[in-house]
Amino acid sequence: MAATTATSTETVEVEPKPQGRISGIIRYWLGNWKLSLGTGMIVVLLGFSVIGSLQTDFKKTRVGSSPFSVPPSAEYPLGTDNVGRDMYALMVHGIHPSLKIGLIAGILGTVIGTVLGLVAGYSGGLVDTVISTFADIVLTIPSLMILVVLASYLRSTTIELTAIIIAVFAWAGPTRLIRSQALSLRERPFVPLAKLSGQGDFEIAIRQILPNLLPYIMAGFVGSVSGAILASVGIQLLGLGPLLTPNLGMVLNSAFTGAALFRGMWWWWGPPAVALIVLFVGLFLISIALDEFANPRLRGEAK
Amino acid sequence: MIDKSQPVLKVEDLQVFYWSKRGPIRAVDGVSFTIKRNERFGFIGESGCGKTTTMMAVLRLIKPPGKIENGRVILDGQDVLKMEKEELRLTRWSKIALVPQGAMNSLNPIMRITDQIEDTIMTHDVGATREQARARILSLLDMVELPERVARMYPHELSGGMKQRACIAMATALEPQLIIADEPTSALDVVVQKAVMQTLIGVQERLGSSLILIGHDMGLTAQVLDRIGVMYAGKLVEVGEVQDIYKRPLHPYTQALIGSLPSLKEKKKGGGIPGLPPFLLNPPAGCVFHPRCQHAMDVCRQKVPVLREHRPNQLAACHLYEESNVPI
Amino acid sequence: MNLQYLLKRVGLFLLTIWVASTLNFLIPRLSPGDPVGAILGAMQAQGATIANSAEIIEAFRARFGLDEPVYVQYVKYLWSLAHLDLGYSIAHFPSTVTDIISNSIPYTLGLLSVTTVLTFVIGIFAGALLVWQATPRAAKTLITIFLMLAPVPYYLLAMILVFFFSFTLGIFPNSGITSPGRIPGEGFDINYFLDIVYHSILPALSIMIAGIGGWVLGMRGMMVTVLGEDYLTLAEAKGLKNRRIFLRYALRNAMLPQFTALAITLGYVVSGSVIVELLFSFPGMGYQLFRAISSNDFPVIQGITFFLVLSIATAILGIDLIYPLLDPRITYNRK
Repeated sequence: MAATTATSTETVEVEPKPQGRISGIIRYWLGNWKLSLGTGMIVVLLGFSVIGSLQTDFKKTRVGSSPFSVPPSAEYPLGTDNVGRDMYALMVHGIHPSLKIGLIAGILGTVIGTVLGLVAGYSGGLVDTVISTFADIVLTIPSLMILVVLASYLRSTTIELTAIIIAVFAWAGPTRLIRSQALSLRERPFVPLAKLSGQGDFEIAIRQILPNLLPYIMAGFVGSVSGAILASVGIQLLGLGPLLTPNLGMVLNSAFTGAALFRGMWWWWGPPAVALIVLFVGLFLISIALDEFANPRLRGEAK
Repeated sequence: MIDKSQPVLKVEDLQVFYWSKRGPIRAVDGVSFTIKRNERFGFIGESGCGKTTTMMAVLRLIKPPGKIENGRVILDGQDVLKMEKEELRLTRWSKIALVPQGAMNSLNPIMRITDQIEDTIMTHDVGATREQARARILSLLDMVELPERVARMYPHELSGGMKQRACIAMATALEPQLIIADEPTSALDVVVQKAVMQTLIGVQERLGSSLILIGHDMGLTAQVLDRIGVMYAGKLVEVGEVQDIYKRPLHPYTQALIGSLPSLKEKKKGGGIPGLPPFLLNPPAGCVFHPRCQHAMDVCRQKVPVLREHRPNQLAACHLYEESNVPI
Repeated sequence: MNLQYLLKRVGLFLLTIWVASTLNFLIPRLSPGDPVGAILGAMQAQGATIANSAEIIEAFRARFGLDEPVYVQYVKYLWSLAHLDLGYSIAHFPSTVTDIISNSIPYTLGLLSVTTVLTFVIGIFAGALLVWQATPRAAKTLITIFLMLAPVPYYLLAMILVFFFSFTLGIFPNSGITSPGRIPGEGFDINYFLDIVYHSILPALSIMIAGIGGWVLGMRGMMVTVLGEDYLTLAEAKGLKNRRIFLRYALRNAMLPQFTALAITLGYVVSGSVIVELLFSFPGMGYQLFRAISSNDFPVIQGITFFLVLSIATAILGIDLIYPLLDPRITYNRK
């Protein structure tokens, strides 16, 4: 009898009221400078792009819509490129498609990775061997290489299709991460306890293990998003992928092929580079903070 | 070199605080004691009472947020707490060695046993060549009853008892005057415990060094010790010869501790001491034990009792025995 | 080293090669239109090479064996791969893909091996020093700056370096591998070699600066864990010198997981350096890949990607085989 009371009071403590939990998360988020700065950077970038794109005519991103190779001025705040595209228009219309690639590939990769990792880590045995071997192989083969081959056969491609192709390789990282965590969570005392109280394997995986994996899932998601954007810009620099609609990789590609660096046209290659750096650093800060959240030993050691 | 008339170790008014956001946690608060030559001294008390922290402070191994706030640690006539870095480094292990608490994790997992002992010998510049050091390591292993092949093995290839023996061999490598053994057998099973303890005592007798033994298992330690110090909530509450402590404990805490010892002869109702040790961020005023003490008086809530000799060679920090209070 | 571990590693290596080559086989066949048609289309777009098109088409027909059933094509394909026969280049017929690769290998291999080893070693030391108490403040600040550069991709860093050191300051060349018109002298020409090194500095710096931060980050995490271990306290109690505690007790233990991480990130490093080569017109395999993409030279694209996968898998196998020598505990299971 005494034991039952003990467990029931414990459960009450483990599951605080939803409201308290959410406000707690928000408080943690604001209290952690890495999380708030990282999120802030992404929000500012996205806000600039979305608000700017509502006010700026998409036609200005077309070739010949403006004079060629003009440095920044009042009329063209970021100048124009060598074929008369307004750089400001290209940027505001180009940032959110790049984020879209990251989001689509990131969500797909994380969902697939979480399911596979959870299944592999929780069930173990042959299933685990097959899944983790396959994940190992996909991690070994640089996805950029396969993407290059794929994209070279699919010359005219869209943002969405690129994202899906990238997602094909984006699941392996999260799978490994979630698997190793699920593996160690399986050994925790609450699992046998839940089994004793009559919960099935599926229920335990969803209700007991999954919530504990949340910080890792989020870290995996952030990693996949930045990995996908990195890969998409990479294949675009190689001259593949969606080069017809405005996006950061496409701007960078045209700046590279137009030798912007050597013509001193800093306003051409600078803005996409700055936007990408803000994006990657922001995502990086978020992922470090999530890492520290999941692994408290790392906290307070940064300096 | 060794002045036999001096005690090996004299600790005076040692204070170690762990600094938390809400103020200092008084892990060790005003502890004084002396260890004689060739003596086997035991520290007992519940976990968290400051035994290990006291020993780490003696070795000057307290890490932030912990800090040695005050006190003197006179080892063989020199204050450890005042030593220069290099002097401290050379003193460690040559004069004072440690048999660690967690022998499981105290050996470097990627070095062979022989290399882990050898680097200690070589770094102290005792004038030994590598060959001499290796020969010495083999004789050390033999002394702790480990086969020669252990030298070439890695820690993960050894059992718990073997690892602990290897740690004992390591501790004796430089024939220190003082060996501190921090619960050296707590992670082992009962049969191995006894054998390892016998090895430790045997080695200590052979070297003629002093031994400080930390343990919460009173039964096993009592048989081998000369004197005992009882710690409670960061303070030393009683010190005395083993027989005295066991037969006629002075401090109510010691009495309760001895009472809670499972005895084979008589079926006493031990069952532990009511209440929990205090939280050391905010220790109770006066005697730290008063909230759990059956004999608590008004003075106990106000005045901190001083550790004083109340019987020959038996010291206690308790108002019960002060002359102004109730005489015995 | 036990046999099971060895077999597992070699097995994974072969499996990786097989999956990569099978993907290479499948992708052209799954894409819209037939591969020869795609190649023909590409050749028509080129115009110039159409002169010996009949010969080329014949060569490709024989290679793809399109009249035969798919499984026969597949077996023939694997067989020729096993002989490192990667077919002919379209843009530079009758050069074989193997010719093109073997001309560019030394540059890529030289650049990548030197930068990867240096990046790893510097990153490992820097990361360990970052959490080591005795490290001077100035060094910690410098390392933190590198840590901040970790998320910046190779290609952006390359652009920034070119802008400052090449375009603005003019200290380093911005492209190529030698100064224009320079021809190697008889035997080993030290000046020619130094010219190559001089041209490689900026590409190498881009790869290294972009890579060090990642190792610092991983090492920092591991080092924090190791510094809390009992064997570190005991090492100090043993009166060892700080240097030895740092190197033999802390760094070596914290380094082990990084070694396996090296195997995992190698693919990322190679992908990054491919683009760096392209930005610097550094005549390695990445640059060749870019040229092949611009001229629709499918066999070269596939050959280079396959070869890069093969090199990475080989390097990983090498790391896996060295690893047990460094960590006596590990017998299998890369974590």
